Amino acid sequence: MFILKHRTQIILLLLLFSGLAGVYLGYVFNNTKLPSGFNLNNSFINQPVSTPIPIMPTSTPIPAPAFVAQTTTTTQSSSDGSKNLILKSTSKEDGSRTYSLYTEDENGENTNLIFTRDVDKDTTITIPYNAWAPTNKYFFIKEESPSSTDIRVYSATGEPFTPEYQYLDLTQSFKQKETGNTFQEATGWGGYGLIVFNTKNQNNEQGPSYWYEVPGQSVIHLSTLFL
Amino acid sequence: MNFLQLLVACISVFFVAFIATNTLLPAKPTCANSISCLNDVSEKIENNAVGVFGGKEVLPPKIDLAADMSSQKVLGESDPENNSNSDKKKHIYVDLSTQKFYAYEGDQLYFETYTSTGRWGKTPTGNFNIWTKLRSTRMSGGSGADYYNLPNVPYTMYFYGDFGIHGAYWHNNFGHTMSHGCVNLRIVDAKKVFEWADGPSLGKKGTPVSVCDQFIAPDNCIQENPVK
Repeated sequence: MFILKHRTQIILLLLLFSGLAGVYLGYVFNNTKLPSGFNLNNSFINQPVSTPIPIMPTSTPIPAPAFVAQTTTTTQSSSDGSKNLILKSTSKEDGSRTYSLYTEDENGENTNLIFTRDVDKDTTITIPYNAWAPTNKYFFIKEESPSSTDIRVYSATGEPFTPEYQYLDLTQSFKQKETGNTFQEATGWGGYGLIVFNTKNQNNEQGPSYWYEVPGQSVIHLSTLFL
Repeated sequence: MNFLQLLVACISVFFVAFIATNTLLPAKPTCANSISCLNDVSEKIENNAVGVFGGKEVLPPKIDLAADMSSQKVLGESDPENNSNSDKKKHIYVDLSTQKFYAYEGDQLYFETYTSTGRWGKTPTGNFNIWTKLRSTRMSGGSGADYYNLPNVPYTMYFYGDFGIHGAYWHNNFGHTMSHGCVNLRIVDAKKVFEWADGPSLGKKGTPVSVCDQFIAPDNCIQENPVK
């Protein structure tokens, strides 16, 4: 009696485990993503036995890293600390950049947007250390590309110098003077309205220094070097 | 003693006196500002005056001593923006080769910036101490096209005769020589140094100033012909 009862219990337990195993496997198969072409319904049941099961290359899609725009901000204060020049640069996916240039008071008030510009990936805009005029009336920035270096002078309020031009192009004015020398570097302001810049001569050696007079938009040859 | 002997004796005495004077007595500093150096190196606030630099009129910054006083920290009050450790020895170094200015506390760099030293007159190399601090003074000198007369020169710290560290409001070409021998700083930088550095007090000398042909490190300031 005990043995018979024991056997029945074992059989019942085996049936129960078989049922549980079937439920578990069915659940797993239903919830496991199989490679395409390897489908229980299609591959094993509907395909003829002699037909080779096509094995497709597994291609786990690797998501491309999402582009995150980087914004950098550089600030240059005037000599007396009362004004700030702020340059925001935001990178784009193709390597190009958007620059926004502002002036504002040291307390963050009186913000003037000077420009917002898109430039290609090989062009950079920077604020030199001595950008501000001693009067805080003007400032200059440097724009560099593989083919040229441009110094552009702006009014601190952003008002245009002429109806056509918002800025004065120092390097262009110097080219038009046809001195035979090439622009090298603008160092800063030698006085009220006077930007000092250095040049290279035709032998690519150190050339003379010049002043660019902002109010008169004239180029003045200096007798001494401002290195 | 005949005339010839007398003449030889006079010439000998003259040369001995000349050589002794030049070698034994300390050299008197030459002037940075050829006019104001001789007249006056005192504190002056001239808010309505107009200056001259490079043949052009320049407007000095207005100085408001009352505002200065109100913005000063109470003694002992903590200032989170000022990381000065006043227990350490302060020392200023000026590098003529790179046009850089350094303020050290012991071997810790407290402040670094660009400066403009002598273009029209050499900034003397040597080891000095700030002998007076003036919130504002007038500096004048030069002649012809080089004539300048600048009131309200802010945050002046003289260290050798009238050679001083001070703010410059008439140019913004720091990192390049621009002065008649002084050590020019941006006004904001001069203010910071002025508030940090010490003048002489209670028998103590002011903050040391070393002008170097080339500055390497606090104990390595190369001076080829120091005047002091």
